[in-house]
Order: sequence, then C-alpha cells, then structure tokens
Amino acid sequence: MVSNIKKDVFRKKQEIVSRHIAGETILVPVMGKLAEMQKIFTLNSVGEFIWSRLDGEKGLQEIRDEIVAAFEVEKEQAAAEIEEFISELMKEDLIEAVQ
Amino acid sequence: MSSVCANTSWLSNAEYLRQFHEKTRLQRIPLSGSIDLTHRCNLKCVHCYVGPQQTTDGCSGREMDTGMIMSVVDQMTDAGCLNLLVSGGEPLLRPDFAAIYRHIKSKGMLVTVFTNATLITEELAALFAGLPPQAIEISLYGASEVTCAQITGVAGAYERCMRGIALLLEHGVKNITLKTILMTLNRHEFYGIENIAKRLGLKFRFDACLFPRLNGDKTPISLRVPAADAVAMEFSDSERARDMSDFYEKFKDLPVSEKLYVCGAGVTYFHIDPFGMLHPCMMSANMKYDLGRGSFADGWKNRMHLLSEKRVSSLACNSCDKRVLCGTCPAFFSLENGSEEVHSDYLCEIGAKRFDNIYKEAITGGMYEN
Repeated sequence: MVSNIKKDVFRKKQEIVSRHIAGETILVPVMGKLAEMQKIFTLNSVGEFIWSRLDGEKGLQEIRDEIVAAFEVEKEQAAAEIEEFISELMKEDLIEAVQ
Repeated sequence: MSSVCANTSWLSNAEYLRQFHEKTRLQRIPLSGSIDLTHRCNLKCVHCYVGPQQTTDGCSGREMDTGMIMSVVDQMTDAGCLNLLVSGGEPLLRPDFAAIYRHIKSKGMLVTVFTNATLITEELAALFAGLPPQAIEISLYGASEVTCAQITGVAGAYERCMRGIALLLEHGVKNITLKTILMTLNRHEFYGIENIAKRLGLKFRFDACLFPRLNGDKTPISLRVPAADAVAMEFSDSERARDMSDFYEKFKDLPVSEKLYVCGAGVTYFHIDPFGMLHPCMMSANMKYDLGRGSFADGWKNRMHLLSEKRVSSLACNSCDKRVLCGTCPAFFSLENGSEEVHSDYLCEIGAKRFDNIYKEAITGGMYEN
C-alpha cells in the first residue's frame, strides 16, 4: 500500500505503554534500551488515530481509508503521512511488522 | 483539517515539556507524586525525618497491604500520574516490593526509587535491569565504615551499600545517583563520598538542609553544617555552581505571588504515606485524606487543593529577591518553627551565600575560589 514500507500489518511493541494525560497521548517504554535511555514520545491526534489501529491485524490500506474518512483528506496525502509515521515508529523501535 | 502530520516528537523537547507542564498545572492534574511503601528501615539514621517508628517492626500491620497499594497505583494512573517516586523508610524491606514495582511499571509510569541499597539482591538487581527505573537514588552517609556506622547506627552499612551498588552495576542498571545528607558527622568525608560516585560513574547530589522529624523532634537540625560551609562545598564543583547560576537566572524574575505555597504541592504533586494517607507533599503531614475511606480522585479533587489556596499573611519570603535560591518552603518552616509563616534562618543563610557565590562567579568570570 505504501511505497517504501514492505509490510502492511504492524503491531505495537509489548513494552510500550500508552498513556493519556491532559489530552495528550504519551508512549512510555517500560523495558529495553528506550526505557534505559529515558525516552518517551508524544503523538498528535492523527498519530494517536494511527497508533490505536496498529493492532497486528488491520492493514495500512484500511487505516489509510479510515483517515480519509475521519479527517477528510485525499488518499495520497493520507498514505504519505502514514508512511512517514510508520517509518518514524519503526526507526524508534516502537512497533514491529507482523509476518 | 489542513494537515494530517503525524510526526512523533520528543517529550524531552524543552518547549513541549514546558507547555505540557503548564497544561497539567492549569488542569490540576497530579502529574507527579511519591509513595512511601513503609516507614520501617533496617538502618537507624540519626537525622532521619521519619522518626522513632523506623526502628520498630510493629507498625507494619498498619501499612497498606499489597492489594491496597496496587489499587492506589491504578487510581493515581487514571488521574494522570506520570512520575512516581517510590520511597520509605526503606522500600526494599517490603517482601512485595518486586510485585509492586512491576505493577507500577506496567501502568506506564516513570519510576524513581530511593533506597539505601543495603538490601539489593541478585533478584532485585535483575528486576531493575529488566524494567529500568527512571532513576535509582542511593543514600550513602560516609566514605568509610566508621562514619556510616555512626550515622546509620548499624555496623556494616557501608559495606552492604557498596555491595548493593556493585550488584546493580554488574547487572547493567543505568541512571544511578549517589546522594548524601551533609551533616556535622560526615562533612570530613563529603569529598570522599563524591569521589566514590565519580569512581563508579554515578551521578552525585547532596543536601545540607536537615529538618526536624515529622513527629516534631528537632534533633536532626542540630547536625546542620554552617550554611557558608555547605554552600562552599556546593560551589566547589564547577558543574554544580553553573547549574545553580543557571537556575537562578531562569527563575529570578518570577512574579511575586500572594499564595503561601508557590510549589506544585496539591497542584501537580501529591504524596502517599505507608498508611494510605494522601498528602499534598511529604512535609505536609497535617493535611491528609484517608484512601482507605475514599478514592484518590476524591481526595485529590476535594482536599489537596486547599494547600495551594492558602494566602500569605505575614511571611516576607515570596517577595525576597533570593527566594529561588534558598528552597523556601512553608511546610519546612512549620516543622522547624511551628508556623508556616516563620521563616528558617538557616535557609535564609543558604540563599544569601548562594547569591554571593553566583555574584562573585559572575564578576570574576568563574575564577572565584571559595
């Protein structure tokens, strides 16, 4: 679905706990290198929308269509944003592809 | 919606953090707190603010049981707590410490643990290695067995603490801070303790502002080192001196407040004692809410705010130009002088000496030596 991403289905890493505080979504790594490095992350509303759907079953194409419906944007723009976001999450080791 | 930019951003980003903290302050969210799992301790430190109950095992029956602690942790998580300090007493004395720690971590909290490290085992070191805390702060009160024994009242405390630290390091635990309370009994070993931290690659910090026990016993303050000496030790390290100067520069122009408490107590901060009492902070022992009879949310919403609403009547500290340097605290004053509005002369001296040092550093370009 997305040009530079070879897999279509992803899931959150088990060691990441999602918190909702003061209207913000915060990802807290509780084990591993990220926790040692005291890294935590925050998501904006679209990031949270995508994050909540990375359940190891739903494909990126389906998530893209849900973004298009929810945020009234073009498919291409939604796909580009998903690609950027998924790449970022992979780089930070917050998600994993489902085989 | 014009953009679906879903970029992640670092929470450590300074501006984001500032905005986030401001948001939690305005919404009065208990973002940070502390919980004392017990007031019992295997050491009997002469300066301990907890007081005589530390030496008895009898009070453990009144402590929150495992189930209540788990429930309280769940409730504080729901209320928005992100940063939690786990302390005591000595928290590792509780046989259920590991279960409680795992539960807190599973809720996505950033946990700091205060310990004397004498009870660290292979299992606990492995626990901290596998589920890294935000920080482990270890109290060490001397650089020798003799001094540690004199202060802690327990022979072998130094050796056991060092063994605990070694176990943590062997397991690869990061983010360890060694800390001490500077007092008349250990001032001759202050630099020795600091050097232990340097040798082991640990962070180091200290505090000289001893305060009375929570039961009113003023014995600890008789152990204070003169403020001038304490500040000289503080400024003996260029990084500490720079941090203090930066802190002063950042906050020196804060507006004068009519509020008695200008800290986060009861606004974004709370404390829970081992007996299930919720307080605005550890020092505000008199303002409390029983979590055995009501919920964290109820206590936070309907009780803890009362501290932050107190108004100044006679205390001059809030308009003092050195107030960001002394650690002014009405609860501290209350413990020391019996009134929130009778300031501590010792804290005043600390603030004045820090101001002098910062001023001298500024005019000598950092060449000033104590």
